[in-house]
Amino acid sequence: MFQDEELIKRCLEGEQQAQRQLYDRYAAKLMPMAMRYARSQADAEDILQDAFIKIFRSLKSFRGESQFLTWMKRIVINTSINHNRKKLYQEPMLDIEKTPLHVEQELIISQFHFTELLAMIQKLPVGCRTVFNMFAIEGYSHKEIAEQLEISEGTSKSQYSRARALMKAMVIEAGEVVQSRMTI
Amino acid sequence: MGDFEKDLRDAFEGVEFTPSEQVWAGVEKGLRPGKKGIFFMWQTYGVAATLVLVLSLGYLFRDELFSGSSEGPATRELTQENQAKDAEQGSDKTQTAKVKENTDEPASDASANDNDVPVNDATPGIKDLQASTSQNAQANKSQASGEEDTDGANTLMADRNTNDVFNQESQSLINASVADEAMNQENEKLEGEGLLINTSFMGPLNLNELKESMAAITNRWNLKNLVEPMSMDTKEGDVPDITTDARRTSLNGAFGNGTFNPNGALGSTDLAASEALNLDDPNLVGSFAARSQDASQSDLGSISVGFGVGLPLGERWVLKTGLRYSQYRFMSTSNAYSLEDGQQLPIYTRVAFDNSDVRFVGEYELTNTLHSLSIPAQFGLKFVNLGRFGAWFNAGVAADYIVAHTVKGDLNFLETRKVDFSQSSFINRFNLNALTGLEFTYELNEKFALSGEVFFRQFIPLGSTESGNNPSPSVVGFGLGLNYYLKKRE
Repeated sequence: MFQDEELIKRCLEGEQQAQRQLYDRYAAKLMPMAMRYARSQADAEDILQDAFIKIFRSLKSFRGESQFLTWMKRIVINTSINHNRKKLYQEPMLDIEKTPLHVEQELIISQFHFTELLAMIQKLPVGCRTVFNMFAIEGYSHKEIAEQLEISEGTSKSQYSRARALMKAMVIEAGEVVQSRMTI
Repeated sequence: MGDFEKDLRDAFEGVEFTPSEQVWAGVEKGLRPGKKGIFFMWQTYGVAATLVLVLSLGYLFRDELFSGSSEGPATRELTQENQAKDAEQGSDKTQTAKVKENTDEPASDASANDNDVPVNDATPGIKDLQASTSQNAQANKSQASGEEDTDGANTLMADRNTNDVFNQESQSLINASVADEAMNQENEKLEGEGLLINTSFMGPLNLNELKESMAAITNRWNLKNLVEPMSMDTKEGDVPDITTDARRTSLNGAFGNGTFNPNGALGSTDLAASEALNLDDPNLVGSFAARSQDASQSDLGSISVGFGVGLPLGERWVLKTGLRYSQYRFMSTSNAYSLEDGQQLPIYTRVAFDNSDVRFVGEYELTNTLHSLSIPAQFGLKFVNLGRFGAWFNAGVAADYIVAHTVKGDLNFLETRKVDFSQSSFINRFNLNALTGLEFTYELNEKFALSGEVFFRQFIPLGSTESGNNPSPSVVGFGLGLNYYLKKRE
């Protein structure tokens, strides 16, 4: 098994077998990330495909300053944003002053399998979903999100607030279903 | 950031989800895009055909139109030599100029200046046609001079052939130049002597004089064409007939290459295909429809090969018919495929597909190929003839039958879809083609001719398609062909 550096070198030399090996090593790790930004598995595969093409084409610009996986994750995020950009324009993100949902119940995230959480995230509107992923899971600041999505910081905050409330509501609802299943 | 976010992040930490094999297929395709078929590099063929056409025209114009003015090194050398000879023959020319004084053709100023003889000014009364006695006398004298000059031209050629200055390789060129030169010299002299087709001057020439004069012309013709001296009787028919090649039955084979514009086949945007998907998720259907309709139809080109016959219809008209096979290709995109009878088939919304099991994937390219057989009936009008070169205007129709329409997806696991014409909104199976074109021919010899054509074809649908469209794509392209004449020129 080759190390990343050796695989990258061979990929840069145009070796197809090395490209396949690199893909096999990381595709499954990056797929959940693509799925969080997409609204379906097919969309996610579309994103992942485009992301890997970009990864292979820009391998020569990888200088090893960050971890290879971190570098690839950034490409997947950017590809996801671009992929959703048309939809983002179609459903422009606006400041949401009042969040109608107030959730007081205790949330137990760990009781859910990640695919269940994925399904909840995928149900979010495209703007909320993008901001939620970037802030809550990727750890971007609202300022960085605003710059990347070309929106105001306030819009990013309000979208996140809305997304968080919707997620909590879905988690609670799903949690109740889980609870009722356990008591039967 | 609260516990909610931390818990979520932990929930996704280190998780893996294996994507389907189609993702790698798409990546591989994206990294190594397929090449266009070599026969569909119509731009390349177009440039090549244009080059052939331009070179042919250049050669023809040099050969047929400007042969008198083209001056190669050998010709220049001869010109210099002749100038020297002219200087030696100054007295002869002076004599010629004197003859001109007695003709009704005014000698040119240049000619007068060359010889330092003020011809026009010194002969105010020479245009009087009634001075017939004097003219006859001069005519007799001129005729004698003409004979000498013809002999002189032959002698000149003989001299050239024995001259060591020119090597064997350039001999043919020299001969041609010598012939031209001799002809020019003789021309000048004959003009000076008033013998060149000047009927007002010829007046009472007797039969012998006329024959001698014609013999001089015949000699000039022979010299120019480097042929055996011909008899007076065979002169007719040696001058190319403008229409003779249009009167010959010919067989021809041709290859064509061009663009294929499918837009006429698309008609208005219709949602029939996407609506027919009948999926639960309207967003998916919307996405699919949007992609399919937004995708631009990019032309990959067309090729055609055929053979036919040209039947003469009079002096300048020919009826051309035969059989032609054509392939038309264009590209579009899709993001879905369908499962039909265990096969994974690409979806192109203009043609029917089974919507019971549709799968969505990343965007991929579709190559549509139409295979067609057609029988053209085309009239050709020859409107230009410059020796071996001819230009034709062609127009007519063709009965066109689309043998097959295939859709090939650019993903490895997809098979090629064969289109059911009864449910296609793209194009009819039977069409008429309106044909028009400009064709240039160049005769290589008595039997063969090369041809180059710029053509335009417009599909005219016979009836409407399943969706009610009247698709009419068009083709613009170049063609190259070879003609074989069944009969020699009559």
